[in-house]
Amino acid sequence: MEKEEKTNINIDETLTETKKDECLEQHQQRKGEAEGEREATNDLPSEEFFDEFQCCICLELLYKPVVLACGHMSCFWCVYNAMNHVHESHCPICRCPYNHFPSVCQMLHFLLLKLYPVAYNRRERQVREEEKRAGHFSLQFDQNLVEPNLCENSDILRNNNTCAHLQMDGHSESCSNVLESSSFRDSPKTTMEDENGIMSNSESLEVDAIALNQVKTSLSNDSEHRDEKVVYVADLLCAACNRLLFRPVVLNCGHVYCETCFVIPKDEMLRCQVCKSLQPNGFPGVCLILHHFLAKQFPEEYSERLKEPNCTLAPRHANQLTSISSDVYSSWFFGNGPKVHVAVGCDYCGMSPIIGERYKCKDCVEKIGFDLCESCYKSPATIPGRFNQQHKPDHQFKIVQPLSIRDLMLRLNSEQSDDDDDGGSDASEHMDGASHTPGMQADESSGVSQEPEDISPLIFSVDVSLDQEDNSEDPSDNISSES
Amino acid sequence: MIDFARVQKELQECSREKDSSGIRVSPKSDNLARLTGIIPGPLGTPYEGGSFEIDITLPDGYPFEPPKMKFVTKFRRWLTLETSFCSINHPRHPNISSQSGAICLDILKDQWSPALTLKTALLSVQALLSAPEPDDPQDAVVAQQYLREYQTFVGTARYWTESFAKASSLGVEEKVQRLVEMGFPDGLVRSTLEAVGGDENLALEKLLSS
Repeated sequence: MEKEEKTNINIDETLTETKKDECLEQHQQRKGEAEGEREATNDLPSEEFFDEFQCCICLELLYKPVVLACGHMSCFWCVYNAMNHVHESHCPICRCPYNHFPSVCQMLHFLLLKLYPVAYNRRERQVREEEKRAGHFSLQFDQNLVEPNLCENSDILRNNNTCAHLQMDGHSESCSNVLESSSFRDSPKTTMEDENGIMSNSESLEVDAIALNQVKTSLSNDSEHRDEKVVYVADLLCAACNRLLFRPVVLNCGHVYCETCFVIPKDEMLRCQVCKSLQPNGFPGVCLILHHFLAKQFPEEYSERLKEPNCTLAPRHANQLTSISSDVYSSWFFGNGPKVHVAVGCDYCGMSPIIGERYKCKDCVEKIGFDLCESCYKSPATIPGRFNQQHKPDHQFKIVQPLSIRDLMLRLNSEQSDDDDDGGSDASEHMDGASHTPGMQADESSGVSQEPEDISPLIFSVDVSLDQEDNSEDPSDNISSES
Repeated sequence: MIDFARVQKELQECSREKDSSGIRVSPKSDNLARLTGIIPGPLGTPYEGGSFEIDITLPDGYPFEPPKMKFVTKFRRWLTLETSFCSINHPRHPNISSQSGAICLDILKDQWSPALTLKTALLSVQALLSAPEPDDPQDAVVAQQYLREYQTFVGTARYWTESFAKASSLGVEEKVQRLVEMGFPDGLVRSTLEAVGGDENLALEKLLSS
């Protein structure tokens, strides 16, 4: 174990050193970065390092962990890829059904970043590469607001790191690409750096020096009691009682509570007390991985909590039933039930596929699009989209009708015969060019501005989102009809 | 796009832990999309002592789609009355096609979960060997035999294991040769051996009493 720690320190030193180089000289920066990266990938901590926080799907360290209603967790993209998007989805581990894609648990995200900075940053680089390739991005966090402590220092390290990364890519890739991806990154930080330019760079150099020291000391302490020194009670607080989490449950919105702190209101509508968003699937299950981690890290606090009277309450079982019966999904085929929008998810509550009306943002330019379900549309929240869409409150929505099975068949047929777009429809009903396979990218209806594509490329390789706008019914005044 | 990083990790995991299950996975070629798995026949079943080879093909969507698994079919040269055209080295089992080696197992179809691995899937196949489900058969003939003439099924299954999937080469041929040397006709020896599940002494008793 000690040996591992030593290599860790070395990596951190070299990484920070490369940071300094970056700020001072442009040429050395690229070289140093490349070296630092090579070292980071070569001298990885071994797998045993994070056995308890291994994602069950990619078998790597969890990255941007998402906790499902049953309490099991996976990486953000792993959950997304494992979801059904046509029917209700099932937990990969316990097969518990769910139909809402939960938000990333920020607390766990920063906990993992703190516990395994090297491995986590490597995962970040890895995932970002994949995201760039796919053109879909996961939510970026504004770290400064959440974690003021040691975490911030490592963030600065990481941020410089990724900045250099981008600049490197800029030489190989097109300029616009870089601009785009940098705007997807946590925007407050980048803008701040743009304004102050060199000034903030020199500042960050100083901070780096301090950061280096802190990292060093914390790591040297680690060799004795690694975990206890890195994680503090302050990192693992319940959102309600503000004490150390005890039998933690994670809500659909990603906020974490003690199991006993979460009060079920009289009207049985569970709401997160922090972000006021609805909890769709009843009472969530205890996240046992986090529970065991806490019990191991803070044995005294945990045994004290066990003695408290309200903890002896019979544990409430997770409501394993989804709020939507499975008949609803099949009604899509027969056209006799509520509308089911295949392969489209709500960006606030995460319902996927959307059932009922689908509200699509007309102004979000991201490839993945921005959609809301009816209830989220009526109670506008300010949380960002799941895929880091830069959605603003003044954006306009339109109602989009789901595909009928007939349309889907027609669409598939016309795709296969490589036909031209059906010219009978009006201008706004054109085919989306975005998700076509590159061969078909020579878009038929190229005269019309293209709508962002929202179908996951994993579900259908061909385009199924023939967006039909319903101009006849216009329930909300916010919806403008395109004609 | 197959997640090759994960396949690599799975293979490492398999080679690292040497447990009692005896399950092994190894790549067939460099591209990691085609692999070979080996499962030992579970103890206390007619497949005990056998070592069965499974052909694994990973679909593009792995691990979000199930791996395609089937028992490797290798035709052997010797022909007897009972096994004239199906002298194959996969287990004789109600849920395994005796022609193609296809496996009827729910987790390899609609019940697949991305949290399962090649190793756990192979373990499930091994468990299927110990607990056949004749009510949902892949091979109707074998399933009928399993339900109606259980002893015959066990005998045949053991014979298949003994003759075609024995890890040690000390197989049926030697036994046949010894019994033929005692003066019994070759065809009768083979069918008797099959009937008693490959036990040489039992076969001799039966041959003498008949």
